[in-house]
This record gives sequence, C-alpha cells and structure tokens, in this order.
Amino acid sequence: MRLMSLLCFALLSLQVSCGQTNKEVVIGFVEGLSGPFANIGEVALRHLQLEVDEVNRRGNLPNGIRMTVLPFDNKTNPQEALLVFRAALDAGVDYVFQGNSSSVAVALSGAIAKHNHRNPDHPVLFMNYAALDPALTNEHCEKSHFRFDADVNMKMAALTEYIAVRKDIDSVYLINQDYSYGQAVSAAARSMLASKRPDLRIAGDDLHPIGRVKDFSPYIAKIKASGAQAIVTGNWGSDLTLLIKSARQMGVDVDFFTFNVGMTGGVTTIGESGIERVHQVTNWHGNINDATRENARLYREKYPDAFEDAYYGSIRRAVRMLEKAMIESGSDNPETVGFALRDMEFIDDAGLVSMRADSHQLLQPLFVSKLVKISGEFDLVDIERTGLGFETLAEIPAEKTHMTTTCQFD
Amino acid sequence: MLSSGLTLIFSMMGVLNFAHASFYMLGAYFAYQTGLVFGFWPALFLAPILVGVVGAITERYGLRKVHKFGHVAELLFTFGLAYVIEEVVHLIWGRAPVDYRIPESLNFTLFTLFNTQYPAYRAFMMIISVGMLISLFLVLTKTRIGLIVQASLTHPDMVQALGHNVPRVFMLVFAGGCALAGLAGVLGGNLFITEPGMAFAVGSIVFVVVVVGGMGSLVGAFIASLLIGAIQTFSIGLDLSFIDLMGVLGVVIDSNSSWYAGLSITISQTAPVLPYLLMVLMLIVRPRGLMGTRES
Amino acid sequence: MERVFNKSRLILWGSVALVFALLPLLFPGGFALSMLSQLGIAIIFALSYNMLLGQTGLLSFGHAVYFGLGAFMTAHAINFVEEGAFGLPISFMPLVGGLTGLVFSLFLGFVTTRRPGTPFAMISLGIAEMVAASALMFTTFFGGEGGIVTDRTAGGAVWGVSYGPQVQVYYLIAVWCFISMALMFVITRTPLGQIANAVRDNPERTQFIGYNPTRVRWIMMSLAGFFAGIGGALTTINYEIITAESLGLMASGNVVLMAFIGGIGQFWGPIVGAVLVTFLQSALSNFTQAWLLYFGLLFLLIILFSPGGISSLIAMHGPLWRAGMMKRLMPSYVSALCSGGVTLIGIIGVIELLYRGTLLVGVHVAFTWIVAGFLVLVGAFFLRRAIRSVAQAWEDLSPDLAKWS
Repeated sequence: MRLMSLLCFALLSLQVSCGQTNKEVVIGFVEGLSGPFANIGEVALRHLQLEVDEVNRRGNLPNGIRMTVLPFDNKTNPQEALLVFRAALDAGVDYVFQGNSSSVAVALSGAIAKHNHRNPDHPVLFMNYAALDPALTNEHCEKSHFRFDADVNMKMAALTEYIAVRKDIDSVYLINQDYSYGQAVSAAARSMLASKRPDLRIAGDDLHPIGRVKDFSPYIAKIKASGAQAIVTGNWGSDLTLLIKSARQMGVDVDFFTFNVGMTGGVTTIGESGIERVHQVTNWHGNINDATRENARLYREKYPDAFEDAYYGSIRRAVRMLEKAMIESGSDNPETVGFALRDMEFIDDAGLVSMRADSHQLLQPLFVSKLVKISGEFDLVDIERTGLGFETLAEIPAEKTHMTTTCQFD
Repeated sequence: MLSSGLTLIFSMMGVLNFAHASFYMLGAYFAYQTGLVFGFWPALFLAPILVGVVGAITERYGLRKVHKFGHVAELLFTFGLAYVIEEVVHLIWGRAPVDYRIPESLNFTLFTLFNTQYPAYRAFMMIISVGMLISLFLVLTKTRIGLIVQASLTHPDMVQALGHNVPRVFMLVFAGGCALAGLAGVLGGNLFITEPGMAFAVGSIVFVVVVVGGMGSLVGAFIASLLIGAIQTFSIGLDLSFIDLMGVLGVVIDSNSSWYAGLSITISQTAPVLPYLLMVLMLIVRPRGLMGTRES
Repeated sequence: MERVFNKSRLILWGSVALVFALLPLLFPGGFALSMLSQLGIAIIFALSYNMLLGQTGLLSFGHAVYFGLGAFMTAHAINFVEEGAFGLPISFMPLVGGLTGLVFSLFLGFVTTRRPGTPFAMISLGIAEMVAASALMFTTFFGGEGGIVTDRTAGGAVWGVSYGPQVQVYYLIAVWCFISMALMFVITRTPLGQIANAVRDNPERTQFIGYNPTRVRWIMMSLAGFFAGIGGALTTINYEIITAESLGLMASGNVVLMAFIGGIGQFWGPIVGAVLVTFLQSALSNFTQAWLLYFGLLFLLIILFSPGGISSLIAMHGPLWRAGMMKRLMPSYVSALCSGGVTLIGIIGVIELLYRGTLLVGVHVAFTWIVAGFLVLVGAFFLRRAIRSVAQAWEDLSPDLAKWS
C-alpha cells in the first residue's frame, strides 16, 4: 500500500501525461529548468501556465481544442536544446516557447526551420518571448520564428528617445558584459545617442567579462572620475546587482538605465540602494495602467507562494495572440496559424501591438520606468513584496522603435 | 582591493579544495538564516561554526576515506561535493538570491577620500580579515597547537607515534578552514550577493590565489591576494590596446581588417582574466608559487 | 610480443561494429537517433580524456578546450566549403577538427606537461578559464552568443549521401567513433602506450630507463587533443551549430565525470561512463529537476566506494565468473539490491518532496513525507547489514578463488 502510494506519487511527479486526446494543442516549453538559470525558467513557466489556463477557461478555441504545456529542460545549452527539441517532437509538440538565452534561441530557430523544411507534414512554430539578439529577426530570421519582446536595438531606441528629452543629463557612461549582447548594447547606445543627442558626452565605454567580476569598485572609481551623470548598462543577474550596490556604497549618485532589472530577484537584491535611481526599459511592467495592475494582481493570486511577480508581458501577448490566430483561422495547424499571426494586430493591457510581416518582430509601445518606494497614496503594485515598484516615466510609441530589417523570407 | 581581503581568508588552508567556495556560500546562507532569528552579530559567530561542523563531517565521512586513493581522488571528491552543495542550496533556499543585508549599524560612510566614499562595512571586513590572518599566523607559528598541526601536515607518522591523534588533527584543520571560508561568506554575502551561483563565481579565483601564493603558505597567499587585487584594479584603469601600441609605433590598422576585433581588446577589458594568465605563467615558471615550499 | 588483435578481440570488435550498425534499426525515433549520435561523440571525447587521466595520469580540467576549438574550426571549414573556398567532403571534416585539436594541444601541451599531478590540473584549469572567457569576447571567430551556424548539407551529396537525414549523420558518427576507438585501443598496446603507463606510475624510474617523461606526456596529450578535436568536429556536424558553451568549464567538468564514473582503470570504462552520463543527463532531466543532485551524489558515491568506477566493479567479477562462483555471491547481492532499492526510493521521495515543497499542499504531502522518511530509515538499516554480508561473502570466496587461479 505504502509502496503503491509512493509509486503513484512518483508517477505524478514524473509528469507523465496520461489520456492525451486529439483535441489538444501541445505547447513545448523548452527552457533551462535546472542549473544556474533554472529559477528564471520556472518563473516563465508559471507565466505560461497561467495564460494557457486562462485560454482553456475562456474555451474559445475552434473545435473545442484545449492547450497543454509540456516543459522540457534545455539546461540553457544550445546543443541540449536541440536534443530535447527532438524529444519534444516525439511528444507531439506544435508550438515551442523559449526565450532565456539568445544562443539557445538561434539554435532552436534554425533547427525548427530545418525541421519544417524536411517534415512539411508536422510543422512547428517558435514563439520567442525574451531572446533579444537582433540577428533573430535579421540575418538569422526564419518564417517559423516570432519574437514578442523588443530586441536590443528597439529597447535602446526607446531608451535614447527618453534620454534625448532628459536635457539635465549631459554625459553617460556605458558599461556592459563582454559578449555579443553587451557589445550590441554598447554599439547601439553609441550610434543612437550620437544621432539623437549630439551634444551628449559619452564619458566612457567599458566591457567586462560576464560573471567574472566580484568587486565593481574599481569600475565605479573610474566612472566617478569620468564625471558621468548616468550609466547605461545591459548587464543582468549578479553583474547588474553588484554594479548598482557598489556604486551606491561608494556614494556615486548617478542614474542607471538598464534593461533587465525587473528579472526575478533583481529588485530584492538591489533593494533600497536603487530607489529613484534605477531605470528600466520594458514592454510591460505592473504599473502602466489599471489593466496591467489587474494582471499583476491576477498573477499573485494564482501563485500566492511564489517569490516573484508578473514580469513577462511577452508571454502573455504570445499566448493571447496565438489564441486569436487560432480563432481567426479556425485551425490549430501551426502553418495556418502562422499565416494568421504574421500581420496580426492585437490590443493588450498596455496598448495596441502589431506583428511585422517582414521580420516577425512584434511592434509594441515600450516604457521607461523608475524604481520607487510604493507609498500608500498611490495604488501601485510592488515587486517581490519589497514595497518597491516601478513607476512609468515615459511611454515610447511603437513606431519609434521600428528598425529596418535585413530579413527576407523566401 | 577588497576581494583580496576576502580571498585571503580562503587560502589559508593550502588544501586544494574545489568545494571551498561552496563552504563560502554556505557561510553566507547560514548567516542569512541565523541572522533572521538572532540578528547579524550572533550570526557572525554562529554561521562559521556551523560551516565548520559541516566541514568536519565532510572530512570524517568523505575525505578521510578517499585520502588513501591519492590526491587526484581527493580533488575529484571535492569537485563532486561542490555540485552537491550547490544543488542542496537550491533545494533549501531556492534559486533566487536571498535578501541578506548589511546591518544598519555598519551601513554608513566611514570617510571620504578623493571624492570617493569609503563604506564602514568594508573597513569592518578589512579589520576582521587582517585580524583573523594575524591571529591564525600567530597560532600556527607560536603555539603548541600550531606546532602539532604543522608537524601533522609534514610528518604524520612521526606525530602519530608521539601519541597525537593525527586524523583528528586533520579533521579539525579542515573544519577550521571551512569555518574561515564560512566567515568570508558571512562577511561577503551581504556586501555582494547571496545566491546559489556565488560559489562558482569566486571558486576559481581562490584557486589562483592559493596557487600563485604557493600552496600551504599563509604569507604567500597574502601577497598573492594583494598582487591580484592590485593587478585587477590598475588594469581596469588602463584603456590601452594593441591598436594604440601599434599607433605609437607608426602602424595603423584599418578597422575593417579581420585582425581589428582581436587587437582592439583593451587591457581593462581583459582585467578579470589576467589572474588566470598569472597563474598559468606562475605554474610554468615556478610551480611551487611565490612562497611555497612544496610542489603539490 | 602479443598481437594487438587476436582472435577473440577481433570477434569482440566485430560485434561492436555490428551493434553500431544495427542500433538505428532498433531505435528509429528522432530523439533516439540524436541521442545515439550524442553517445558516439561522448564516447570519443571520454576515451580521449582517458588517454590523459587513465593512461598518463594527467588530471585535466580543460579538455573541452580542444574539443571546442576543433568544433569551431570545423564549423568555419564547412562554411568555407559552402562559399566554395575549397572542397572537402563532410565525411572527412572530422580530420579538420582533429588537426585543430592536435595543433593546439601540441602548442599548449608543450608548456603544460612539464609537471604532472596538481600543477598540471591547475594549469589546465587556468587555460580553460582564459579560453572560455576569450571565446565570449572574440565574436568574429566564436560567433558571440549565437555561435557559428553551419549547414552540413553544404558540400552537396557525395555518392548519394547528403547528410540531410539524421540517420546518415548517425552512421558518419558511428564510423568515426569506431575508427577512433580502435585507434585509441591500438595506442594503449603500442610501446608508447605502455611507457605512458610507466610515466603515470613512476616517472623517475621511467627516466632512469632512458625515456623523457615530459615528452611522453606531451605526445599523449597531443594525441588526446587530436581525438577530442574529432569529437568536436562531429558535434558541429551533428548539431549544425556550435557555441562558446562547448569549450567552457562545464563541458570540461562533464568529461571528468564521465571518465571517472565509468572508471579510468579499464580501456572500456570511459565508454560505460559516457553512455551512462549522457543517458542520465538527457533522460533524467526530463523527469526531475533534481537530476544534477542525483548526479553529484552518484559521483560522490563512486569516489567513496569504488574509485575505479563502474567498470572496475564489473571487472572485479570477471575471475569469479570464469570460476563459476557467482552464485555464491548472489544471496547477499539480492539482499543488498532490495534494501538499497528501498533506501533509494525513500531518498528520491525526500528529495522530490523538497523540490516540490512549495507546489504541493494537503494531507497527502504529510503522508508521503512520513512514508519516504520511513523508507530511508528502514532501507538504510537493512542496507548496512546487506553490505556486511556482501563483504563476508567476498571474504569467504577469496581462499577458493586463490586456489582456483
């Protein structure tokens, strides 16, 4: 008896999916679910699960189709991702969701396109909710790939629009992780600032190896000496936290313009030291309007024990647009759905978003926001129960982030 | 300069231990946990003791058994242990960083030098690190206990014959080393960031300090950590690259040339990698390290 | 001198080739084929690593450097072929990777092999750190975060083989894996291989009899680099993408695990390790998030109780098997297996409960906790007794075994 219950438990925990019917669309969540980035993967999985549950609750899909999510652990490694992609295919996956790590995204996007080419009877679509490498919608673009987050250049365009208005800032310092993403941030910042604010001085441009710096105080000393008023950084994870903590401890009072501070744990570790100083550019955060606040609360209600709060607006958009595309096309075939998606317009909680048919990049308004202490008089939502949250400073309309693309679908 | 103080505490053992950084991490997490209950000051003492106990258990039931299979097996054992500790930390505290903060009583600016504020907590860390170093040095060289420890490391059979329990000495030394790593974790965890990846982040730099300084040499480790701190700090300030060097020599390289990307790397960009270069060069030229007396 | 390939060995190697040829027929699924291809690569990589650790006694924490560099060079070579810069059929691309590995290990080996033991391990760690860091910085050669993408069908079909379908890639990998295995086996039987063993066991005496240990280490390291490069090249062909992760510390650490879990004392040990580790990593991770923990625990257990790895455990039973005394061990083994199984289920239950602690609620959780804890205790109690009886059975056997041999 005991053994039986344990076996049942084991089976349950092994996530064996039983009783799969034909009326299911399988969403493969191919993400790092073990190792150092596992928490980020789990957060994204919870977002996806919430949205998929909502779709099933509404029950609007054609022919009574339901969506299910099957998670696959890619160990944040491109080769493992390709291996589990095959496993996902064997499990009958129609849509692949992935986003953390551009290297995995490039690998998956290529593999899915090759798969579709070689197996036209079982097409698969790739819904990318966070991989920011511009190459994915330019030289490496594929018909089967859709990106729902804004890429590095688009985010930088939005940020520089904002800096262009902030006439009180007359010098910025660029510090980034030394790999393709960080280098792209640095290059984009240089060129866009030069055209939008020719009077602005770039006080310095540093690249440091990713995840190797324990103590940022020498960098901070250099920044201090340069006299910069603001720091623009694409850093994420501990490289970002350490940079901000170090600066505040040494009393360097500058503005930080970042892309990834809202990622799980970011606000908790930066804490008080970032108030009124740390800015971010995102396509979504909890305090844009009443609708986003409502969605943020919905997330917390669904996962009362979770550490994090709603973060991925792109997952929400991806699932909702997928739902809409299925309803409009009356089909669950990924190829047909893909046609419906490619120039879709959709009104989400933060405004109108539209998919670009020429590169499969979602155009959406972007928001510059600032970390503030949530006080009682405002009805804002906080993050990770810190009492801190983001306050919108500027909304950059979608067309301002329109980039020319080199992508050509054949 | 601070990382030198931190790495210093690590390297006192002179035992090559991949899991040492994991004990550092455990220290930070224990301090976070005990700090929640008792506050920071008791945690400062409790956490290292707890880490020391974990270390003692590791030595007694793990390392001692592996010891007879030689150095390689010991090294590999600690390598595997590092994996396990990281996963256990995931298990207990989750994967996101925990909110382990600097105590309010030390969260102020001590003095301002050249327009740069020097936080009190860093000074506090410095004092504790140097204090620990000096007392450890004194204990090891001037007292009877230190004598036995040193003798056990070099002549275990002789010491055993004299009636001392050598395995227990080893166990205590290992536990002490772990406790020191734990102390470093208590001090560093809140200044930097307490997360499961922190062991991996400091792991290899600790090796560099130990190897460059010379294995088993306290003074060597001290010098090495200062040296590495200095190298990193100064190289970050240098924005020179090979391109500039060649410019001085009259050679101009077109920015479109395929060599440009490689040669335009500035010294400041490579700063955090320089310690490894130093370690490799040191091992090739002088394998025993700066002050070391033995090779392995 | 003993012939390298006597009759029984030929039969053994022939059956290995046959198994390689038949496997895709048994497992035709997409995932299974990819998995088999990955296994082949892992086998080459683990064996090449064992040339260092097992045969020459060099503990390296940077072996993936040669693997990765070979892979990157191959990726570029394939892209050059696509551009028409030169022609080389994909089938021979592994040579490009192998030669790259050879060149780099010749160069790096020259400076690093002067010292065995810990200094060598440390140097290899330092080099691995530096290469991994520069791989992220130099985006021209290493392709940055996206890596280098290639198309293995670029060279067009040669003799009707286009390498489009995975099964053709599998056979390419199988052939190269077989060739590499055979070559590496032959090397162990050459005078060079024997001297390498001598250098591992006692470098000083080797020097007395007129060999230069440094040079032997250098040669062995270069050869290991060569085979690692072949493995890297096959990875490029298999995945058609190569990123900086593949030469990082994780990859290097992985091969150490493979070789050690399988056992470094036997030639075929790393093969067992490669198969087991690759399989566990891919299969286990589909079931549980805690796979890294299980993996680490397995590794610790093996170091603690069977430092020769799984292969030495198996090899230990060889003489018994021939003497027909296996059945005398069976009762104690069965009891150890049962109690061990119970303990294992209990431990797995506890770990999984911990991992999912926040997600599950209700009465069942408390109940499963109690069950799991109970199983651990009971299992551990019986396991201790079983282990003692296994030891006893071995002791009883040894005099008979000595008589028999």
